[in-house]
Amino acid sequence: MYNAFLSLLKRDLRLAFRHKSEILNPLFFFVIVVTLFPLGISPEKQTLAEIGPGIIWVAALLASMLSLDSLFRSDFEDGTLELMLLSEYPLSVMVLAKILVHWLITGFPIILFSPLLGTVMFLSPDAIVTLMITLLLGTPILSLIGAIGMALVVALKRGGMLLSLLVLPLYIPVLIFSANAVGSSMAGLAISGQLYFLAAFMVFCLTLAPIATSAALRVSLE
Amino acid sequence: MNIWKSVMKFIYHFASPKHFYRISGKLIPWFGGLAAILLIVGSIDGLFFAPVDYQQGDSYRIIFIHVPAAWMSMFVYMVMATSGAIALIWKIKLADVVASSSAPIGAAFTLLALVTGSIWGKPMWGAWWVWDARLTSELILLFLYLGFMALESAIEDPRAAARACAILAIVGVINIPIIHYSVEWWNTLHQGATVTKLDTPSIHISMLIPLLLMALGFKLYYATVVLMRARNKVLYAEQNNGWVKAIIKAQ
Amino acid sequence: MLEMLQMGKYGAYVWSSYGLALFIMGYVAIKPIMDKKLIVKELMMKYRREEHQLANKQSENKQEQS
Repeated sequence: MYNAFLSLLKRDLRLAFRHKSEILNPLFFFVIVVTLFPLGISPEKQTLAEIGPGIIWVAALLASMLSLDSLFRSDFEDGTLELMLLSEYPLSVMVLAKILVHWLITGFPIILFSPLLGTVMFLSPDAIVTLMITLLLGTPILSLIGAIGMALVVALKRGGMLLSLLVLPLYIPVLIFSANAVGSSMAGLAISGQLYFLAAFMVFCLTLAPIATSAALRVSLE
Repeated sequence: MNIWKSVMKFIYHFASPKHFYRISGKLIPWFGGLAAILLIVGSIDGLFFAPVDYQQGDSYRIIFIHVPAAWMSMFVYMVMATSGAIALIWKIKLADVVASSSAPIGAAFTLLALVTGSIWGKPMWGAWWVWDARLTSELILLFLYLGFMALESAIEDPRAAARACAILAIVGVINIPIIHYSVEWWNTLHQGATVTKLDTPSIHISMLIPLLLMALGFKLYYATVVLMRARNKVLYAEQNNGWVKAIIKAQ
Repeated sequence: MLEMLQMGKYGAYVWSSYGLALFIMGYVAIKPIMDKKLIVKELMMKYRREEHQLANKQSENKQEQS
């Protein structure tokens, strides 16, 4: 089982690195969205520092959601997904491997780029560290919950808009606690409560989301 | 084990489309009539006989609509998730029908709770919309209902749509407490100063009675409408069976 | 009586809430009744069409036999 997990992980990563746009496009999207806000609102330091945490998090949320298509789409179209369903290994383990790949190619680059955007939005050094921690805890949740939604709409021709309707309401707790943690650390307040919540929520999703995703895939592939 | 088996047998028997159609047809007039009486009596009691609130004046009378609607919006989502789970586990078709019949009714309750909350908020807060914890949660719940209905209409095969929606409802119901808790936490942080005026910590018995009448009336109203909707779906889905033909021809 | 209907200065708010509730809940309750009429109509036409087709086929068969 572990071998199957690893080989699927390696295969998907290799595929992702072959199509570099799958890694770069969400990242560009993330940067561009954040850049739009100073242009749309004001370049003033105080304003940006106040709305920065929320904006960076909303942009991360959207980037992660819009890249969900890469999670199952191509495997659905060429029939790999059906083979996975028939294989002797539990589907939820295979799904977990695919979610991990999705996080590695979308969530992880966002974390690496976030200090840059934090600086551009005039966040304090402390807040930037907090931003990275919340992204580290939060983006896996986005990939895990997003996988459930993607599995439900994968068989539909135009599922993109629908996917956002299904998934965005479920992202709300992550947004609230993460953006608040970054804002609080700007103000010099304690943030352990928010981080504990995010960690607990991540573990919770890590245990349940793969099961829900594989159930949804079974329905979609019938 | 024997008892369990006979219970399941009974459930499958009742859940067969034909029996459901017959029994629900008998229940609907009772539920509907009782709901109408409760709603009328509750409204009159709430509008004219319940005493005036010393802080909010007569505007608090919106509570008799707003609070039952908000309760029902949560309750109906729970019903959808429960019947979705029953449909997934025991493959009872009727449970799917109940879940999909409930969604528009639940969405209507949610919308009603939102709008009456906003109308109530205008004289109380001086604004049509305030990011109050309960209103915000209710708005997110409306999004969940809309997502459910959008998914249902997007999948063409009704069986597949029902199963996908059941999974979505279960995921949603697990998330609702988390969303609710986080919204409440967010609200206390940002609006610590404003007291949530929609809360009624201690309520006088003369105000409680119409509230409970209305709550019961809303519940029976939901039971009536969900049975009517489910009957229509059953009738349409079973159109090639003999018993449906007999019913239609008898009319 | 009129004073009672005015609800202090909150008449518009209270009555619009109750009116909206009546409208929404009335619509939700009446919709399935209308739906049922449509379904009965549609199915009745369908069954009648099927019977006609069956009858036509039978008479054709008889003609061929004779």
